[in-house]
Amino acid sequence: MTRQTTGPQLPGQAAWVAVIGMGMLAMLLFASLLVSLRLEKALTELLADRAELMARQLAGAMEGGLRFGVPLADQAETPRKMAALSGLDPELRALALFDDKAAVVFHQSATGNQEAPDTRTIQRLLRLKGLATAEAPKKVWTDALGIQVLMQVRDATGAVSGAVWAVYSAQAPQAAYADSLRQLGLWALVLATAVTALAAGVLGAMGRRGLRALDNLQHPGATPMPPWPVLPVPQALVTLAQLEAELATLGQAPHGKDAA
Amino acid sequence: MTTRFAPLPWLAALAALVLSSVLTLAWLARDLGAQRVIHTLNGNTTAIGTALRIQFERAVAVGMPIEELVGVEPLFAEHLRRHREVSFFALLDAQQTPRVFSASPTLSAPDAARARQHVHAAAGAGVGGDVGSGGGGGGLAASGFRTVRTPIQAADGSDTAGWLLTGYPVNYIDSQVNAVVTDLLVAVLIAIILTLEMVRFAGSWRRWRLLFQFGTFVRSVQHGQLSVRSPLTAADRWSQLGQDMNRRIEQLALKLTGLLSAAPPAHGTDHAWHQRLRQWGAQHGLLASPRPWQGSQSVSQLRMLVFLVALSDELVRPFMAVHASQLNGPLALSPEALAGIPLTTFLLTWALSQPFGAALLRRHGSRLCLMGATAAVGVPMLATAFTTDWLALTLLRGLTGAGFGFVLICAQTLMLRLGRATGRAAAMAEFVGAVVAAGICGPVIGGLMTVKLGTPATLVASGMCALAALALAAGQAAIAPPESASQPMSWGNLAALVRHRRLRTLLLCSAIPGKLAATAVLLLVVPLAVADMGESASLTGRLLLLYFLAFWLVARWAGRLSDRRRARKPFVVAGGLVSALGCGMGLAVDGVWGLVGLSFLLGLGQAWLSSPQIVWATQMAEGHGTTDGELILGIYRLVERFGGALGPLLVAGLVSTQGLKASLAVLAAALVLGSAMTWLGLAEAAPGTRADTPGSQP
Repeated sequence: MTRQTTGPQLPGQAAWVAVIGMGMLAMLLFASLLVSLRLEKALTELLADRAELMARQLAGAMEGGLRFGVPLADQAETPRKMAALSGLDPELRALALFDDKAAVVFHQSATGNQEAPDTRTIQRLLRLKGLATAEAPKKVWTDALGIQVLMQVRDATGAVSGAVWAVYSAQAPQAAYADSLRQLGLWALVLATAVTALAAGVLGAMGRRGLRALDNLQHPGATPMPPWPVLPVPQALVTLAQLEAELATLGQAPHGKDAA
Repeated sequence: MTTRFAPLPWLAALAALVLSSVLTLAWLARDLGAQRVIHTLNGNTTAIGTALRIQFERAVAVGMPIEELVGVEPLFAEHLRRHREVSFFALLDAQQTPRVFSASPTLSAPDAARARQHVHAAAGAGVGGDVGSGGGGGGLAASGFRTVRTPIQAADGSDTAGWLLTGYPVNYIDSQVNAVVTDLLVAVLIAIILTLEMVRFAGSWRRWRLLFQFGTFVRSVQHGQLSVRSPLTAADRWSQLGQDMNRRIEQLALKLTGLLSAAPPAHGTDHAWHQRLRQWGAQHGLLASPRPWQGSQSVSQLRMLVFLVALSDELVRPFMAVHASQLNGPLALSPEALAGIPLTTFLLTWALSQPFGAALLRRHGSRLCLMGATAAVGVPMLATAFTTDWLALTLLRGLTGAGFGFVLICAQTLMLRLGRATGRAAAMAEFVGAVVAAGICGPVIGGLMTVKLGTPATLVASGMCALAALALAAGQAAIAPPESASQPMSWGNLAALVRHRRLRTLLLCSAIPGKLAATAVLLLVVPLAVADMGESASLTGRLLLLYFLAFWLVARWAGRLSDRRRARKPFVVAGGLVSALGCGMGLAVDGVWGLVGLSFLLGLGQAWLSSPQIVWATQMAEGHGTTDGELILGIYRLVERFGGALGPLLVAGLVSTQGLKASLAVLAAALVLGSAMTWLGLAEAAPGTRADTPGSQP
């Protein structure tokens, strides 16, 4: 008997191979993305912590001057302190000091550019009120400029006098992310391909068994086998035969009279 | 002999493959990340050590010997609190004798003891025994720690007055990898959900639809359910097999009809025989007309439409509040107000749109309504990506909320219409399942997209999701309203609904307490309890995920069971009690496991009652005769939504005055009381008399 491959047989197998393959690939690529992001996040957090340390050091030095009544703009030692802090950590990209109007007072940059956060962002931080005894309000964020920390500078009375800003380049975490994603993505492709090939092989074998089973079903006397994992055709045929027999038994009217 | 297919080994093999792939990725990630992370960690530790060294040198410069310095421990404690990556600090005098040692509070007691031993060993080993402030190799890493050694210069700069040791854990990357494994499991879950959603939708495509329907037909016959027929009509062998089975089923139905056609006698054995035959026919689905396939196809398409629109909203959820607070808004408004007002506008327009869904559907038809509503979500969402003005964003969020509300209420109404043929609770469960699936996948994917592609790109992606739903709506066949749904929306109808005693009881005793408990627990109790335990917000995210997962797993199954049993009340009452049990578990069990039980059981309970409750409400309205079920759905959702909005407010008051435990006790008591009153106060009509019986005509 010539075997036909029409009907739901081929699309069915293709569907399952596609579902397993796409599912595996989606999962592994998504997992690669998550892993790479986790690595980037870990590195970003470490650099943000370092930026906060630098900002706090500079803010502490500024607040020391303010306690003696020296306004931020008149603290002549500030550029030297900023240069010293930059010298401590070559990865520090820029340091800046802003006054209470969000204007730049001092700026120290590894690149020589006067890069700074958006004025509105500084103004919003300057407007935040905090307890004189508590830690100064700060904002930590990452954008195209880098990993940034903006921290209030307050005088002895707790009044806001300005803000310091420290920024690290986000290049290292981003490079780690890209490198990790590339390598893990390749692995994901290899793993997904292997699983899909395995699934295709198994389903192909089952499909062949399925066609044999269909032959057997249409030629009584042969041993039926499951066509493929999703369709319990032999079981359905057995149930149908049972139901036919049940109705034949039930159809016998009481007292032996055949009601049909 | 029949060889049965056993799915368990195949599933186990697939699970093993997935798990091994995930672990392989985690292992690869560890190798990839270790060097970079250790390098950055070393840089941090060096910078922290240098900052402290400057302070110590200032003290030494004024003549204070290292061994007589005071306030060193509080200084170390402050830095350990700020810099969680540091494990310990130790101050050594000029003779390398440890004078002060402080370990991070995050270290366990054995780890702290090992760190102390490490310091003594490093002190004994001298300068060459560990990492210097300039970097270099470390020979003491076997203890689990690495140390950066920073020299403290004497006042004259000629000698070393002491040493500062700053320690960090060698296995820092492993703690990150542990978090990665958790993330990977979330990735597996999301991939499974996305794949299943796609498969369900694929079931509505022509070629695959036939395949899925044939599969459903074969499985139905296998379980003795003969209410469906094979849809295959081609000349191939599978179609012939299906047609052959159809013929045999028709013959069975004909024979049964013939047996039952004689008038049933009133008494005696013939009567019992007649009853037995009728029961047998009903049990195997042979008494009603065959179920049409059209309904299930439309349900699949509608489910995908709801999923896409819900995904569009969920994608922006992680960042919308922060995004709004950073836009150019009035300076007089605080960042909290800038974040909160657009969110409130969105929720308000969403809630207010609910009562109008049924009227719009009747006037403009399902296709036009869904197209309009999805466009009302997609277009403002796309516009939001390009706006930098806060006021414009607020207006756009209002429009999106209205569109979102219309899509959801229209989709629910249409699901109820389609459910008249296939089972209403099951159809409603499809709707709820799509929303919950989007709730599981959306925030994670949206968060990732925001981090990598930025806020505007994520908003564009969100808008595109809604526009894809628009395309789906445009290609969908119109779903006609039932003949009974003819009453227009009017205030008189609304008043009649408010006066409906049974409906009022269901709302007050079941819907509102359930919604109140769910929103209060998800938005307030779990986040606050996690913060109280000193855990990170990511634990809150995972606990909330557990709620949605339980809901997603059970809602569809509960809906089908409710239809099959033709019962609503037991599901509504049991759902309320399981939710109460969840609150009780949160109350009785301390720590994370209590919250795990709370989230999971609450999700389970809500999934159990969700679809049967809404179907029961529409049945009550239809039975009352003052209006139809479609109108009641909108009102019901409106009241329920306001009830849900009250939840966090009420519980916030309770938490602030009585504490978290007392709040959970009140919620549990409200749920138990509500369930008891529903059980005692509401009777359910006898099975088989409802209009929602699958296969019956509206």
